[in-house]
Amino acid sequence: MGGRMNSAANNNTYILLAEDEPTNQYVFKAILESGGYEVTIVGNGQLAIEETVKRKPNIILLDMMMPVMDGYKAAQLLIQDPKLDGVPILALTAQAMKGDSEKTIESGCDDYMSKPIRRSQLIEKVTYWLDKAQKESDWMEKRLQKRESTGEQDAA
Amino acid sequence: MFDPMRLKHSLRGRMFFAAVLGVIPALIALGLAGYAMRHPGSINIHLTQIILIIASAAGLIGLIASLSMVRKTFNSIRKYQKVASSMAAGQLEIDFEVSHEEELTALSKVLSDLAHQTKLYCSEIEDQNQNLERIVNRKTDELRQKNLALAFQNEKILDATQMKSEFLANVSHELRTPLNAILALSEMLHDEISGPMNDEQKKQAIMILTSGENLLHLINQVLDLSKIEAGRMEVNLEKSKVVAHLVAAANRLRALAEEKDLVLRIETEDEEIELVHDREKLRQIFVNLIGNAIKFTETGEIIARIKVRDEDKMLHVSVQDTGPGIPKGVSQKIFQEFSQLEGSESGKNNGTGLGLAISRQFVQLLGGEIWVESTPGVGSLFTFTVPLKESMTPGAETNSFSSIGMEDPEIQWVADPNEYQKRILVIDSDETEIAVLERYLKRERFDVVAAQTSNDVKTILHKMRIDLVILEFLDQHDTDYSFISEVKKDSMGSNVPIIVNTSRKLMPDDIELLETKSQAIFQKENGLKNDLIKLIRAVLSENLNSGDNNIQKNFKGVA
Repeated sequence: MGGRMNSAANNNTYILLAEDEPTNQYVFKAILESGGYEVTIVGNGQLAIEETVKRKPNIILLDMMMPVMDGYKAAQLLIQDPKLDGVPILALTAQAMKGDSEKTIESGCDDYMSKPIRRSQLIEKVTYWLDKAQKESDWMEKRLQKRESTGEQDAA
Repeated sequence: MFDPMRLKHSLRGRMFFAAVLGVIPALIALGLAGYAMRHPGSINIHLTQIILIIASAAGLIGLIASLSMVRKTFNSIRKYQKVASSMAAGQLEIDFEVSHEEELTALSKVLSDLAHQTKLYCSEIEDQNQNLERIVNRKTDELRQKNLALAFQNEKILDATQMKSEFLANVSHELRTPLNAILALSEMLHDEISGPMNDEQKKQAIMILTSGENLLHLINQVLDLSKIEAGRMEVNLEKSKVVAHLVAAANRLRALAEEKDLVLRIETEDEEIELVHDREKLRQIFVNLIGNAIKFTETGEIIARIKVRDEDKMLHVSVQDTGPGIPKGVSQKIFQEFSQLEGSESGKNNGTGLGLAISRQFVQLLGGEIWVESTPGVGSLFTFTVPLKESMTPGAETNSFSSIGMEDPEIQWVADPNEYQKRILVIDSDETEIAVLERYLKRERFDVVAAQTSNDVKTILHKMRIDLVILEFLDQHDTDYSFISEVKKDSMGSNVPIIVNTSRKLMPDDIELLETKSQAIFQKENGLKNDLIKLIRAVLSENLNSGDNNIQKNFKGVA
């Protein structure tokens, strides 16, 4: 494992992380920033939702156990926001009991990682989902352009 | 003692009376007749006649008296008979006039005594009955009390189990949280992420990391065991190359073996076989056995063998080592919790002693057996066998939630018994479009099946229940129209609603034609999946309620 990871896609990539425990906040922030990402941290699900209104993140990481509003509830609400279509939501869970993993996906998360989370795992997952989201939005763009151009043809 | 009064009241008296009345005058007459015959002329004939008449009359009277007496006696006896009969019938209250005959008096006394005694017995029995009933009632009450107490205890136990589960969940979270920082940060220090480190610092960082990993391992073991005890450990079956998985896990221990100059050999011919099993548990057991072998063996080799046995449908796994062996009598105990072979040879005992205990629990959970054969001074052979599951019945057990890897997640939904999941068939030529749709639909708890060409569609329709089809409307008019018609004509497809998904601007003709064939048309504008979801739900509920396939709606996503 070498030093910092850098990729072109990391510039301007903005990660929103919701995690209430201060030490873990530090850990995740350090790991993600070492990957070249910009990170904003909030302490609960409610604040996470408010933050997405202010600025649309490229990816959202949610701790599942938080005060005020936990990750499950936050995920359920986040996926209903049409402006956040295509923004992957990753769950950070303690994975204690049977059904925990299903619960995260049922709430609307795209993927989950169970604590304790290793740096390599976090970076890999985040990279994967960011790439996927990027691919999808690029493709959507192309379709939109294509439709507009065929639209012009039809109208003509 | 002769008592003239008693004469009247006794059979003997009456007999005597009868005799006096009849027999004696008869005898006297006969005597006189005899005398007259022997001494004729001494007695007047008329006198003789009179005497004969008197004698006859007396005899007759005597006979009548006798008869009457017998009748009376007979009646008395009959009365007694009746009384006895009624006593036999249960009527113990006897109230009858005691006969005057002295002999029968005794009988009546006997009957009376009998009746009385019987009454006494009866009431004694009654008493006993009541007593028994009282006892039974008391016992029943006691039982009821005990049952209540048991039920109460049961509740408490259930509560305790519940609390245990909640405790497990909380503890798990609490224990894992600090480890997150320990593992991640020590790793970052070692990797010099936040700045350069000297060799000594890096070494220290690695030690923190290793200790943290050990701690995590121990915590997992304790939690595993607690889970098993709380009955909350479930078996996750999935089809995979189980043997390959085991071999890979064993290979990861090779470095550990080499550190001690031990040879680790893995023997199997069945690596490519796909099996249905809980491969994570099998891996844990396997790794535990190999890890133990490495830990306790100082020199020599460790041979791990995996065999899929068709004859008895068993998976047969064994780990053999050239370690110190296990003394007789201890071999059973080592599978117990916290038992450790305190070998003076192996100084480091950094285990909880839970590994084998967990392994045994897992093996038992999987329906198999685990045992050890060992010769002190030579080595040990640990073996476990588990039966092979025939096939995975869909939805029967909680399907494993495979941790998502780098490929698209293979999520298998747990069938909700209350509300079965709607399955949507997405037909689209574009892979990415399918991926996007799939993600949104899965978030909404729909099951998704995808096809890129129309060829597969019929097969799919026949293979499984499809609740809705989302069809991408391409530019080739005819193909799509005829395709839709074909689907509708097909027996399995005729009732399935179709939503046509298109980004093309449709001509009025197209719209008309499509409306007759499909349930709805969805015009994709940029990223308004919510509307599509709403449309899907509307179509599905209409289909459910009305059963009428000719309802047409034209939805346009609003830009």
